[in-house]
Amino acid sequence: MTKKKGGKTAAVINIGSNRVRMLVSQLKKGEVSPVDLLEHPIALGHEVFSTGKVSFETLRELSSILRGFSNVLKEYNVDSYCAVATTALREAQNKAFVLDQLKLQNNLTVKILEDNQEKALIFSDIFESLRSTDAFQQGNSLVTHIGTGTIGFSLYDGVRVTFSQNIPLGVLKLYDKLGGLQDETESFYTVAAEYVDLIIQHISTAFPQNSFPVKNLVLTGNEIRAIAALCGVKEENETFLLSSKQVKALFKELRALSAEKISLKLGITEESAKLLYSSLAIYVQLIRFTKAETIIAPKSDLCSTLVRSMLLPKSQEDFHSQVRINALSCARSIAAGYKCNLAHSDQVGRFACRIFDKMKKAHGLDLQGRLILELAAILHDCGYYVNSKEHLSSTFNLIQNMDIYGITDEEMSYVAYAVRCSSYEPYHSEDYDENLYELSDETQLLVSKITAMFRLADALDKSQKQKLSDIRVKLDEHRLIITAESNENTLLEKWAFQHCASFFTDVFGIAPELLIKPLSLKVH
Amino acid sequence: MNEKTSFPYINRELSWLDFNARVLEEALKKENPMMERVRFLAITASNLDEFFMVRVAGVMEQVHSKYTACDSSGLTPAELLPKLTEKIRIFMDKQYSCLNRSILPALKRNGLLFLEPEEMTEEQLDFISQYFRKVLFPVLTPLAVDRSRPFPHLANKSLNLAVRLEGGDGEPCFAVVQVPGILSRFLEIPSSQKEQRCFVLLEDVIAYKLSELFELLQIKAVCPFRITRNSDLDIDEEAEDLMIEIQKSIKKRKRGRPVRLEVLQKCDPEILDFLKEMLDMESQEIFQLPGALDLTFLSKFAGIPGCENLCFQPIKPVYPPAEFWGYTDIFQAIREKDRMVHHPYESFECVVDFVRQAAEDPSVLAIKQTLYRVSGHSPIVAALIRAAENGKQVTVLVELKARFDEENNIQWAKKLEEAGCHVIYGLAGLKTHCKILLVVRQDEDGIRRYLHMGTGNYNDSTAKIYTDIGVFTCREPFGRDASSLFNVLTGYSRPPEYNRFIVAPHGMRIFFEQRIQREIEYARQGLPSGITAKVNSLVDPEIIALLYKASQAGVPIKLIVRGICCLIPGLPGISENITVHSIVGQLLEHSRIFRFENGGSPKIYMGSADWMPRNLDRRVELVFPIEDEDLRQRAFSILDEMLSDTINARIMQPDTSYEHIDRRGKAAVNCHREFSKMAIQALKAVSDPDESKPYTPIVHTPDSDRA
Repeated sequence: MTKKKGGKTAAVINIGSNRVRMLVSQLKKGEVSPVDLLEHPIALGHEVFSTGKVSFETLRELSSILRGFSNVLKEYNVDSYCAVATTALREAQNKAFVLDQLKLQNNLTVKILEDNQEKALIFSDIFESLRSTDAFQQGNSLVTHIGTGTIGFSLYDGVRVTFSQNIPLGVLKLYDKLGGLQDETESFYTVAAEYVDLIIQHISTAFPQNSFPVKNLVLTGNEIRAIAALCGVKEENETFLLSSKQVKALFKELRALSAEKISLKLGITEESAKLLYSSLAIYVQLIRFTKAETIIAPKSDLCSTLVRSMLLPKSQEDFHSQVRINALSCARSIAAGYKCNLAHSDQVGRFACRIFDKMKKAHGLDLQGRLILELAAILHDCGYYVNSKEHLSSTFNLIQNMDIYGITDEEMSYVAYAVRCSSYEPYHSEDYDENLYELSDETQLLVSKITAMFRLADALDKSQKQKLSDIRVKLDEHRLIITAESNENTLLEKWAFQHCASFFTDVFGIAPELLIKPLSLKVH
Repeated sequence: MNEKTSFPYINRELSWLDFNARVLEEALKKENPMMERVRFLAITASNLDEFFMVRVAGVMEQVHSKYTACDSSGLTPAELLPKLTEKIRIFMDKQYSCLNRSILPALKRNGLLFLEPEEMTEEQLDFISQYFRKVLFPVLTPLAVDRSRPFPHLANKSLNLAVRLEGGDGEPCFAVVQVPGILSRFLEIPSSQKEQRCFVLLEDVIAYKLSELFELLQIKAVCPFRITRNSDLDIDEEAEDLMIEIQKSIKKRKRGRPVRLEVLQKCDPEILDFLKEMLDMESQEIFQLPGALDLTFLSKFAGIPGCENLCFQPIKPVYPPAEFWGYTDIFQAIREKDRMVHHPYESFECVVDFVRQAAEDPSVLAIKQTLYRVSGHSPIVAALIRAAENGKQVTVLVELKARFDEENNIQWAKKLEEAGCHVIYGLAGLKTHCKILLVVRQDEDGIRRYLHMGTGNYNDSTAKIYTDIGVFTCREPFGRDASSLFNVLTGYSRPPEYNRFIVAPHGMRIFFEQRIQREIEYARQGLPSGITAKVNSLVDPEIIALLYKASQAGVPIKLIVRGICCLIPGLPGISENITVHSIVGQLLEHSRIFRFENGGSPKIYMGSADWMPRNLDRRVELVFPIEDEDLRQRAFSILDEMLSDTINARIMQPDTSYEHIDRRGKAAVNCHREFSKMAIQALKAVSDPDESKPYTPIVHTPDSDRA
């Protein structure tokens, strides 16, 4: 091929539950513009949700679709591409085999996106498109992405996300799950409505205190365009504004019909009719829950978000910064729910970041490592809510099961391990190893680094009274000198610091030293 | 559509015969040059052959299979067949009357004579004897038919001689001699007069020398005959390998059931009985003709050297077309603005140039093209092969199911595959009829797609006689739609929501219905409304019903339909606002153009689709809007010019007959000639600017010099 000139090109392949998509985009005059979009249906979701596995037949079909996509990649001579998969493949028991086969047959490395990663990408797109919408910037908004395999809920307070949770029930799953009931009851829709309502009630109990009233309902998903078209709503600035009445009326019109009847009535495929039905059932319940009069439905697309981050490094930074803000905000809401001392959490987080930033050369971790450290600082006392005696173990269990905006399960497990290893008993290598034995060497090292820095920061506010208003951190060749000023009794802090210093030294080969001076009097 | 419509609707087969009658009129027209009249007669013959092979055969099959449903005109197959046969017989009578009473005498007046051996001089007989011995004899294979030797399988449309013989024992027997298809059907023989040229038909030479083939037998009678077979392919599209399946079907076509037997009127009755029995023909399938069988040879005869003065003054395609004059880089020309070319007035070579340049351009990444019918030594195929050799990603959609071109298409599909092109055969159940060529190029500022969209095939041979329009553009929404369309054709992607394209079968029918419906609304609101559509055939009952509705709402509708038109114009209260023009002339009208007045802001579209159910429902067709203002105006003027034709145009009457335009008080306008003049003038205008205009010096600036 000829030497490349012109704009940079990138492509993203997304293996979804009911379709495989590929977006090819290019960077033209600093703007990302789409070049080609391919979409091929595949019944991956149905198969995985009902049998748990991807069959050989479907794998062959997937491989064939991807072969076609590869041809198109060659045609555009794209500079870089990535392939991601979402719910269906994520939940397939034989996903390792599928990924291996795709690598062997198509020379394609497919990355399975975790639910939280996927939703964070989608939500970042939504926030970006609603940035200039006034209504969205005022009051609470329930932002919901209804996928085929999962639904992501986020509460946005006008500045940041305060709550985020995903439930493994998308439109396809809902239909598959309740589909059998269709033959048994004529009021199938009431069953669907009750089922969805129950889920929403469960979710809403975990909402932070000041979440109500929910002013805006923001909905996205594959079916929204079809629903908007059926309601006769036109797109404006890539956003649909649907009245709740219209959506309810549409559901009323269709709810008693079978998928076949809906497909014939609307001139769509039966498969689309099923998804449309489930989507409407979910939409209507969300409308009832929020009492919203209008639904804001902005355009959101995982492929375009990913391709933008590939072509514009700045957007990657922006995305990371947004994930950080929202993840910390969600973590704070959860910590508040578990009655944690947030002043202490904030103090530990601030000190931990000071130490992390100064130790950059010694720990070699990236910004995601810093975020794990900050999350550990916020969530480390949650377990006290359950049990004071075994609080570390309780905290560990709680953190491992938390949904935090944009944070993967693996990253949450790092947070959980870092907290569990933060015992103030003198470091005994056997106990420590026992805590981490299930992790790989590489992960153990990462967790150790986070733990060491977290413990030092936590020690500096051991009394949880913020006796040290601020610290200065200096890294010598072999010493980490932390200086602070306080006129209060800081014996507990010094004691705690002493207890974790040896662990820190074991991990980094650097000895931490704490120097607390009396507050200097300021002469005016 | 299996029921009679509630509105006036002409049966499509009967309407097609009317079209062929219009072509025959051209053969009778004294204003046409002699050889062109000969050519028109030949066209009617080859048209009729195809009509028998596909349409008549189809109706016969329906009758045999006891299919009793009515078509849209209210006729069952059993009712239609006798009507068709009767109309065909009347038509063939006219054909031969034209040959015997008009063409042959006129040829004679021009010094061109077809002689039979009994009319020849010694020298001429000597000549044909020599020819028989040296050329014909080695390739002739007489096949006797008796109890031990069955009647041979005869190829579709082949010309044969049936011979009745008698052995030494007085036992009668028959033989068949095939007239070799590889040799010219007619032979020029020496003439005794300087101003005369004499010809003889091959079957007459063989018949004359037949005794040399049957030395031991006595020839009692000889008669040429010809059979036409059912040739519509029945393809199993679910087959693993479509190409193999089609190859099998082509073999079957050669063996399809005979649907027509042509013999001479003076055919020996015993021979006729023999053929009837052997071929299992019914009386109504036999056509006894008062002249040479298979008049398609006249097409070649019309082109014999030395008779150019008896032909139309050729329309010389302008090259380069005005749109591309002064450009060595086609991509630059397209970047500057959309371009339109009108063939054959403007040479098709610019399309070939486009592919050639793309093949050699290092910045071109990929070329994608649909191919439906391509010439034997297609320069387009050669350029695509070259592109693949140059490392471009070349994707070619070859429609293997293009009727009667299947064999040809398989040949060069294989060639393309061997060169490394990605060859695909389209979507199961749908013929890919759209004409589109996409070039993906890495320009300085990013990827840009250059398109050629046309109304006709990428066939450099037919582009010399078919009138078609091609548009070049690199507008982004068109490019994106083109990529999406190819992604659908390759099976990589499902049909998207196209931005500009209107693609059948998903959305074209509804598009036209909505556009017509909108004109009805505009008419009711008193806003400007109107439809001008130029198609090859108008058959679709739903579209016709809507056009009637529009007419009744006061929408003026002007239709230019070359061939089948099932709509009846000018019926009071039904279609009085509809006119139907049919242009049949020197060139074959092929472009499809659609204009909608749209309440005062007219829209114009072009494409590959006719208004027939097959185009709207069973084919992949493309219709595209013309957006560039210059091109829109040009497209409007093309339609206007066609509507003002007074030479080639006929107007369909409420009684379904076609009448020439009453030229009293009107200028003689031949739109083909006018378009040719326009193309020449347009080129002249850009290549030879008006000297009266003030001189504008070229100013050199550092920027322009750098550029």
